Amino acid sequence: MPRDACVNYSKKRIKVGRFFAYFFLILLAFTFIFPYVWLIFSSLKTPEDIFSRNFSILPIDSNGHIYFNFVNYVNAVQMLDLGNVFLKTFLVCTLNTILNLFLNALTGYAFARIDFKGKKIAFAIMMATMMIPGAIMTIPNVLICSKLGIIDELPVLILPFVMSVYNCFLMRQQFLSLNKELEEAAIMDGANHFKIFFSIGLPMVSPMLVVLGITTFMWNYSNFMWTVFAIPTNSDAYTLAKVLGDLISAGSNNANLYPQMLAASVLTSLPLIIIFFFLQRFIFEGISLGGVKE
Amino acid sequence: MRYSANKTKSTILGWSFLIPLILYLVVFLILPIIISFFYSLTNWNGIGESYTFVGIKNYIQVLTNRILYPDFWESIWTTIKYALFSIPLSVILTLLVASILNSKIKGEKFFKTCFYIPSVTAGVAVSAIWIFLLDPTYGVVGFLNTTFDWQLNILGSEKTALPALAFISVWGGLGYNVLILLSSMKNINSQLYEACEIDGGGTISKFFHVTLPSVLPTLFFLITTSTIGAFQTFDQMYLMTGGGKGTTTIMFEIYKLYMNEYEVGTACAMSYILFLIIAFVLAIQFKLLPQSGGTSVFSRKEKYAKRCMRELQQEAH
Repeated sequence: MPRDACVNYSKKRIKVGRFFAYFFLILLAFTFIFPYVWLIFSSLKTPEDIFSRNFSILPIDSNGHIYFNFVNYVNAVQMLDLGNVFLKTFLVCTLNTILNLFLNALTGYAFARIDFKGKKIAFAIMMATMMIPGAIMTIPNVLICSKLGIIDELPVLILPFVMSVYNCFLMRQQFLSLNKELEEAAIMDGANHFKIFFSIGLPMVSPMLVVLGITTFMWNYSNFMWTVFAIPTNSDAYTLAKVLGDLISAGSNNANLYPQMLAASVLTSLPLIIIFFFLQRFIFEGISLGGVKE
Repeated sequence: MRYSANKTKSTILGWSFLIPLILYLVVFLILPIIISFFYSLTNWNGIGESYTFVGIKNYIQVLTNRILYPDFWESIWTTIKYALFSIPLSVILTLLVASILNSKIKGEKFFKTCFYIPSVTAGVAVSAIWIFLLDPTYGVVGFLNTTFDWQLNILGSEKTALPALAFISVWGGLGYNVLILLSSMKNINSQLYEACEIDGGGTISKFFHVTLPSVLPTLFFLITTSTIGAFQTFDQMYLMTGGGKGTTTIMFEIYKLYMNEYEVGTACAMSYILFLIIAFVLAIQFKLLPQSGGTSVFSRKEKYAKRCMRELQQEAH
């Protein structure tokens, strides 16, 4: 009997623990969802209602009816030329992602599959460069880009990001983890490594390419600090992050811009969140591979 | 003979695959480091052609001249404070959330998705959301101010601005950290938990005897990457406070010198100083923090867990 009582007691304790665990998680989840709900509903209010002191989460007109008004979106798109900017950002990110995947896979393939003199040293040097934190390279890279004459031009958003040492490393690990029988058979048949890379290597690592592709695209899409330094004045080369960033840093001194800021934030966030919901499986998988970096 | 010819061939082949990498590293890593180091020894203003070679004067001035560079030491202190606010909070929350999610909880996927959404929101938009939420007149804080007659101005006050920015960065990064830690928790051998259970260990003792020692390497990875991130933080300060109210971090100071004061040489020098600071902090972390169950205060506990497992196996036989 005492043993039973003990089991009951510990079951009760587990139940209480569970309750608090759920309570905590739900509370925390609320702090993650609420800002987005508030953002989306506020962006659908008329500017007057955004600035009204009668607070409501939903957009409600004077008769107490819920309404959805897209005037902030229209204003934001017109004021910031968002259609054009979005197209440019999308092109830059896509180009960066494709180049990045191709070049990193090529390098990773060589490190994993070809035996050559000096490979170990080359790999060690590459890994050592990973130790240098990115932001510190900002000013040095701005200087080299101004020597190359690409500051304030679109290529400044592409060239410095065509490769990533971390992704090279991950591609190498991926190749190492895969069987090389197929490639060895191809070598026996007299195919060269370039051919094998394209016909066997790339298809073989396609899951990793998807994972790295998503994260590279997202990273480029969100990259803001670089645009502050590298495209200071030429609005023809502005990306979404830069345009929204300029609006925000102006908006925090000038609340009149809030309506456009809210709408533009929703529009800027949407593409990545849509990608996330469609490709969630790959993203979560990629994290367990260590394939996602902030 | 044939063998050696093959070897030369594959060496040429191997290096030809590396041409893009070499070009990339030379142009966007090695040359920038050389050029910026050179400029850090000059008084170049970034525009004209003329500059004078000044030796290590920039470094000395930055470190010692409180009149020319009054904000430098302040910015280091600010950055350290920011790191001290954000990293412990982030580590504790990550551990807590990941271990709850690891305890076969219902709706794991829902919570994971919730916490991860800020990580797939462009950082600029995250800042926009929080500027609006924290607005003392119109946002949620505005609502609280009107309702309770408070005078909160979170981003506009020296006391709260920096902790608020640290909190927002923790909010933005939590989902990513939780997922990394969770995937490492899922790899823990379940026999370790069973062993602990048989020894009468409850939830808390399981956490300290099994979970924590097992995820130490991942935790260490998260701490070092957050440290690197915290010491380079810039976007939030630029967007949300403009560096005001005691939020000028080192990176923001570098930005001001480069963009506003045209002191390219000093900005380069400061980048190198920042590099040394980060290297120093990481070296301390490598020295002091437990990186794996075996080399730390936790080793005793891991041994205990292993012993339990052995006994369990013996019992089974």
